[in-house]
Amino acid sequence: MESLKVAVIPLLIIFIACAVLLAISAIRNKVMFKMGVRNVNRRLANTVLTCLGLMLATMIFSASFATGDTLSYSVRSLAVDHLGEVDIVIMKGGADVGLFQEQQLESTETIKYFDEAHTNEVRQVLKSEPVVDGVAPAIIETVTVIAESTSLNEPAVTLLAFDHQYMEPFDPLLNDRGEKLSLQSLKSREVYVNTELAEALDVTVNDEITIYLGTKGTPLKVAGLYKTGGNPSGVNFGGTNGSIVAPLSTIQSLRTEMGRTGDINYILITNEGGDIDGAKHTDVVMSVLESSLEGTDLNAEPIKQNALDESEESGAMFSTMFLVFGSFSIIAGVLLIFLILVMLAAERKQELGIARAVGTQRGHIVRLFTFEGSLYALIASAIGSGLGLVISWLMVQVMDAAFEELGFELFYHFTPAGLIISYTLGVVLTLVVVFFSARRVSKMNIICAIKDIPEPQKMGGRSIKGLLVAILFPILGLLLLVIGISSKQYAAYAMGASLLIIGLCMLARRFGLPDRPAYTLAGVGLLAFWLLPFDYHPYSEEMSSGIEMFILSGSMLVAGGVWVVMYNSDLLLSAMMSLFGRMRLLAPMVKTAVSYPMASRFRTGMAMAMFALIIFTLIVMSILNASFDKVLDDTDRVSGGFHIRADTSYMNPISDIEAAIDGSDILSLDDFQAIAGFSGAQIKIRDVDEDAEEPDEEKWEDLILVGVDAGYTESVNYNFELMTGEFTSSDQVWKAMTENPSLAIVSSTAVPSTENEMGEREIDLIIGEGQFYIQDDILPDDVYVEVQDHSTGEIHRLRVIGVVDVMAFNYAPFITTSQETLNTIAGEPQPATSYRFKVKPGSADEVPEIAKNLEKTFAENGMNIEIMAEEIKTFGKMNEMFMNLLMAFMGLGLVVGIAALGVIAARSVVERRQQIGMLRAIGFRQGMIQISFLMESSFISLLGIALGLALGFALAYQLIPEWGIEGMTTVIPVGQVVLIVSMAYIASLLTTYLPAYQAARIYPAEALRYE
Amino acid sequence: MNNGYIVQVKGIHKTYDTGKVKVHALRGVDLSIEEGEMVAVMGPSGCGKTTLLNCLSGIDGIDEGEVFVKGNHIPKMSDKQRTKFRAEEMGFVFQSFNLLPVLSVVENVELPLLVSGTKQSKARKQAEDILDMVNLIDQRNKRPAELSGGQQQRVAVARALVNEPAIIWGDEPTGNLDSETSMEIMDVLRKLNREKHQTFVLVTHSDEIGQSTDRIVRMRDGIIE
Repeated sequence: MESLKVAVIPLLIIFIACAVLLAISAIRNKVMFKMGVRNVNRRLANTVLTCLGLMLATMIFSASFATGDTLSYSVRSLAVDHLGEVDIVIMKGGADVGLFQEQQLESTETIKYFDEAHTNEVRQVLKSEPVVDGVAPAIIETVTVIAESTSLNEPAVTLLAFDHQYMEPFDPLLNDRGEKLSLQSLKSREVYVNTELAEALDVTVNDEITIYLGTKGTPLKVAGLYKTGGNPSGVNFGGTNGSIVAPLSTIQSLRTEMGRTGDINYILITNEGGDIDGAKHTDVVMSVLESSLEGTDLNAEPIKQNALDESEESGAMFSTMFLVFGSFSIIAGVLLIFLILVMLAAERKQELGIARAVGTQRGHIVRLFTFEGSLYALIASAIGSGLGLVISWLMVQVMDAAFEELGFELFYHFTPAGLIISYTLGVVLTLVVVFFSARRVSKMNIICAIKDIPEPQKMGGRSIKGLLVAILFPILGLLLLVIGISSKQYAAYAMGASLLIIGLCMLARRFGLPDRPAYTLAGVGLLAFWLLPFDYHPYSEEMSSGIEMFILSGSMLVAGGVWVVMYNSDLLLSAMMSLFGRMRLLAPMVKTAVSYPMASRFRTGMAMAMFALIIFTLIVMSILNASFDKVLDDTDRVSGGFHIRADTSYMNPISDIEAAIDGSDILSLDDFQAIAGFSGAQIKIRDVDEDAEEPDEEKWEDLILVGVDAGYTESVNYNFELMTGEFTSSDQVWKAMTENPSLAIVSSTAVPSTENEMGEREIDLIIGEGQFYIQDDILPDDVYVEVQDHSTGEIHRLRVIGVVDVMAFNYAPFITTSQETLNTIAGEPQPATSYRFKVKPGSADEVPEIAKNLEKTFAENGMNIEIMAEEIKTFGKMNEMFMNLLMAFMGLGLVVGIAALGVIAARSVVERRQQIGMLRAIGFRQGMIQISFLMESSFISLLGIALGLALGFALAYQLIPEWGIEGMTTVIPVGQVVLIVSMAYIASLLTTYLPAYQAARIYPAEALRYE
Repeated sequence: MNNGYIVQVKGIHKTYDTGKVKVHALRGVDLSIEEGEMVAVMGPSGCGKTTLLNCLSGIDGIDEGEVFVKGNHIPKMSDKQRTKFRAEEMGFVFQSFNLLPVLSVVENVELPLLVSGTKQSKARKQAEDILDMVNLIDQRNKRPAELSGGQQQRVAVARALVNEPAIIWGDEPTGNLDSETSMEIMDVLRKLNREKHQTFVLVTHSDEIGQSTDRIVRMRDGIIE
């Protein structure tokens, strides 16, 4: 969140500057300030309505920041829970004990051991650093644990072995009564077990458990149960976070018995300060460590700082995502602020006219409204910030339910900085809109204002200033267009083209083209441009774009649509009358209901735009989501045709899985159509830039290179997003990779894309950057990577021949080679530690039973089973839940449209009082007046909804083929669309019910007395 | 009650309670108007002319007394019945025309017909006929704002007459017009009164207008002099 929160200071400066300017202006214009303040007090209902309208943008800001804060805080809590006092670890090689790495190949990878004497060397080096509190040797392993008494097992448990004499500065082991457990008091073959593992295995104190540090299990006695203090431990999302703490000597002797070399595999360092505060000394300690470890094969990793950074990044990503998706509501909110101010001015038209007549300058009117608007902004932003917290709390509850599947708990949290940004941003944004609205309303014909009659039509303004603006607009557009094309930025190109279209039409208007054709042309131009299939745009293949395109396209399409509708309203009116005019009862009501909004182009257009904008976004999101879900339904495509995924412990790998299955009582080889083995080796990898004179040493990234056996390549049915020109089928690519040791296949997340990403890449490496994009049709045949094994140091060059289907997600390793290639690179055979199973055709129903039997058969190997179809469904469910949450958040914008309708309806009742009296006099019954008002609001909301629907469908149909997922077709979620439309419409009806009711209850004699 | 009278009023009282003060607007008014008669109600400001007109037309209620229009006891009718009766039997012309600014001239005129359930095409035909009578057929597609005050009032008259009501109420129908235009409007009203034998009750300050009606009813302090 730091990246967002750096905005606090500049925002506060702008806020204070605005406040100072306003204060100076108020002192110099006391009368205007007094009038502004008094206007706020004038009508409570008006003030409340205005503040409600103005607060919505702030509410979105506040809700977005608080959601991000919550995520940051929750991730940080998780990190602190699992790392405790440990700030830095030292280990051999480059393996990253990533806190949130999935418990797949990465966690089962060998962690290399080294001499314990290194601990003393590190201690000596850090002796002079007062910020270092403790240095301790440790063994940290992921082991399989079986409880013999209950026959229950846990395949991935963190085993922590510590030397008690160095553990004082680290986390104490505390039982559930808060009592400290002593490592020193443990006898031989005794360990402590955390309560979570004890529950999972159904064991307690004095029970026996068997751990597998190798092929043979070792029985250990549970001497006590601890609730906290077993740090650092990895996070097993959705599984048991089990850990065991043992004396270092116990585990070292077990390893010696097994013939393993090396004393420890980690050195733990804790800094002065608490769980979080300790991390602030990271830089100092790391600089000392890095220089002292130079030339050794030991590496220091600032795991606490990394985890804290990760928490900040995920929080910032969430805030950004909610802000981006909430920006439609913010745009609608800005329109509403403008509308409210203009309506306020319309209400006070006569008094403003009189004020102008007696000598008040236009500038005074601007100040008057700005003073009044500032007071509203101050109040509204405070309410909005508070309400945003309530909204975010509700969202966190929903997200918490979604994350529950992952075993990740959310803790609601917000920071003062987030609140300050929301408030100041809300006030500043409102002030800017208020200022421009005030400028607009200050332009008036004094006589028309006093008489409260419509402003005379301007007959094509000819001012030099206006002409300059009209000329500058298309020039600016053209400039942006050129910049966009040359820099291959779609947003700049599209924005430039839009400005050019609008600018040219406005220029034509300046030179006499009437409003109707001018605005209609601009609208049609925008619609045509934004709905033009992507391929028709220049350099479409190379243009890079991101989520900002969604906001731009939405705003431009809605603007175009509203112009076309509003400037051709007579056609609409005729259509409505020919449709409903035949119904005698409805005819008079339809006539008035449609004529009024069509005559007030500005306010109707604004309200319609607000509705259309939000409905548009909801519909696009809803269709994209449904279409994506449909693709996800094809679980075979995502799983590569496999049914079961299994990981085993690297300490006790299965030597020959087929033989083991063949020898099992509960499994048979006939159950399976294919069994695939995955092996992994820690390597360094870098993209090869053929143009660079010398390879960039800084570009190396630590990664797991995955080798797959023939069982995989012969049966996997993943297709390829891209393959080199020499191949015509996926099978050929898999076969070539198996046969040729210099070839590799990469996942879709490893390659460049024209789409700008919202968050940071999980792995900071892009293969083939500058050579191609995933959106291309063919993979160039000169995309290379270099891999270097940590142990051998040898560098191997691999040519990339295929990019796996994006729908394979993380099931496709970042980089895959054949088993043989991996063995060559690693310098020794790498045992398979992960498997995929494909059951025989027609046995899909037996998958859960087979999975259970696999887990049972290979319990000693720590086999952890996942049924892939279930995993994919869970992912789909979480995705859907999250998308629905995002849509609900975006749906907040509907409040804006609905509030606009309420404002318009309430104002119309006041404005048309006399006309209502006349209608009642000539025979309109009370019910007819009420229905007429409701029809009027319905007309605006339905028009907005229809426009949003039409544009949403049109964009979704245009987007889906471009989405980059082969075979993805447009799916209309009819139920959801009906729900969105009906909720929006019913809410708009409810909002206008009260003004309509009031209009119907106007007593004709009283209304006519206003004459 | 009828006895050849289209309007018969007996002892009507009307008080407005503004919260702070009570205004006794009508203090026992008796009045009878014959069918086809054109009556002017005159008197100083605040004497209760408009209140009387509103009470007679059923736009406003009364506190006491009886109001019969075409034999129907207006105060005893429900709001729904009164509104229907107004739509079918009454027409209104107001001082400030009260045309709907968002409708065209012909749409304003046809509105009462549509309210009483006339078919759209028939309503349009009738509206055009009456506009022809008031010499505004050429302006039928214009918006009220595009017409002069006199023209707007002629549209209001056309709207009042389009459903051929038995009685037309005019509240200062020429109040916003110059004397020449006022007389033009009066000529139109007189012509229609003669040709269609409709009853006109006009509230006015103008002696000239009063003189051109069949009878002047003078009011002062809520009673008829």
